Amino acid sequence: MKWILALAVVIVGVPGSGVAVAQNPSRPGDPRYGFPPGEHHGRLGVLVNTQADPETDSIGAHIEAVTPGSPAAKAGLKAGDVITKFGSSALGGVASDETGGSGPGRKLVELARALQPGDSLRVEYRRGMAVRTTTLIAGDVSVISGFDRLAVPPGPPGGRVSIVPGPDDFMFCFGDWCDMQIVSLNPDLGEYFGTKEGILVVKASGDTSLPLKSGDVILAIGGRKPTSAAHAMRILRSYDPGETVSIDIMRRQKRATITWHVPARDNQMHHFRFREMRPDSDGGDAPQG
Amino acid sequence: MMHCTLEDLLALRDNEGSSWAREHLDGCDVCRAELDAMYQRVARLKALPPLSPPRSRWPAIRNQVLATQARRRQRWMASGMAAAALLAGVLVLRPHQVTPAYAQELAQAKRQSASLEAELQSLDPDSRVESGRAAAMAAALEDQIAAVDAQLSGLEGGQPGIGQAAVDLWRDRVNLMQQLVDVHATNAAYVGL
Repeated sequence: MKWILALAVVIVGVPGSGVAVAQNPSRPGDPRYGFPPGEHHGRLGVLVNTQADPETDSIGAHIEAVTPGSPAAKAGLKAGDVITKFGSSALGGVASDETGGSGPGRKLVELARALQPGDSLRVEYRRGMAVRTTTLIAGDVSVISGFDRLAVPPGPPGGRVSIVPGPDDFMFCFGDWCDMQIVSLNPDLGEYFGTKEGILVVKASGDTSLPLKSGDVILAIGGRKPTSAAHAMRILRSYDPGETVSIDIMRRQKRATITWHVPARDNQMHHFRFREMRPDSDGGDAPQG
Repeated sequence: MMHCTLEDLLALRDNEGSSWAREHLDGCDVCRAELDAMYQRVARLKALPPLSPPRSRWPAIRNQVLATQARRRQRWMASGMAAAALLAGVLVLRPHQVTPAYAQELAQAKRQSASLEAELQSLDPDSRVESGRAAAMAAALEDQIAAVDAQLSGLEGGQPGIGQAAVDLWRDRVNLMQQLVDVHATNAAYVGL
C-alpha cells in the first residue's frame, strides 16, 4: 500500500510522464507565447517558444516569429534565431519550471515583462552557427492602434477572434497624403538634406491643401518622430477630423514648421474603425503589438 | 510596356480609375491578373467573421481572471483524480494535446510565416520609395499582425480547441504577412523612378 501511494505521488508530480489526467494537462499542449496583450510594459515584438525543445534549450530561447515593424524587427532579429543572452542574463541551459516548459523561453518572457518602454539592452543571439549581438529598445505594448482592447479575445475559451477587417476598414489614408511618394532617410542621403533622419518627400501631392513640397524632410508630426513611412501614416491616423497638426520639416536644409488641418471624414480615401491611442511620452510611437 | 500602378489598380478595384487605366486593363493580362488577385484578397477578408471588440475592458479582464481561477481548480482536481485513478488501477488518457494532424499544420504555418518574414526583410521596405497609400496599407497590416501575435501570446494550453485555434491564428498570420510582402513588392515594382 505504501509503495502504491509513493508511486502515485511520483508519477503525478512528473510532467509528461505518460500517465494522463482526466482534466486539463499540467502543462500546455501547445507552445505558449510570451507577452499577454493589453498589459503596459516594454514590448519587443517576438513570439518565443516556451515549450521544451531539447535542441535549443541548452543554447537559449528560440524565436518563432518577429512582428514586422517591431523593436525586434528593427534590431535585425529573425524567426529561428536563438537568444543566448538577454542583457546580463544568460539563457542557455536555464532549468524549466514545474510545468516542464522551455526554461530559456520562460526566462526570456519573465525578463521582457520587466522592461519599460524605452529600455535599451544588448542581446546576444545565435543564427545558424554564427553568434551575433544587437541592441533592443523596448517599445510600448499599450499602443496598438486600439487593439489593446483585444486583451482577451471575447468568445469561447481557446477560441480566436478574427481581427482581419473588411476592405472598408482595412486602410487609412487621408486624400492629401495618399499620392505622395515618401521614403525613410538614411544618414548618407541625409547629408544632402541637412538631417540624418526623417521621412523624405520624393514627390509631393498635387493637392495644395497639404503644404509639403518635394524635397521636404518630415522630422516630426505633432511632436512625434516617424521612424518609417508606415509609422508616419500611423501617427497621422491618430488625429481626428478638424484637428490641426504641426509638422516639423527640413526644407532646403533649413528647419521650418508647417500646419495641416485634418479634413472631414468624407474627404478621406478610407478610414479605420480603430483609433490609435496616443502615448504619454515620446518613444512609444513605434508600431506595437 | 507601361503597366498600371498600384494606385491605378486600387482605383479600378473601387470602380474608379483613369480612362487610360481602364483601356490598358482591357488589353493587358498582367494587370488583369493583379486586379483579380486583389479581388480575391478582398473576398477572403470579407469571408472572415466580423469583430466586435467590447466597449469596456472590464468584461475581458473579468473573463480572464475567472478562466485562470477555473484552470487552477481543474489542475488541482486533475492531480487528485490522477492519484485516485492510479490507486484504483485505472489509467485515463490525456485529452487536449496537440494531435499529430494539428502539429503538422502548425509546423507548416510557422515555416511559411518565417519564410515570409525573410522575404519581407530582403525587400528592405524602409529603403524603398512608396506612396502614402501603400505606407498606410503597410501600417494597417503591421498592426493586424501585431494583434494576431498578441492573440497567440494569450492562448492557454489545455483549453478545448486550443490546437485548432493556434493553427488558425498562424494561418491568419501567414495571410497577413503575404499581403504585407505584396504591398511592399508591388509598390516597389511600380514606383515611378
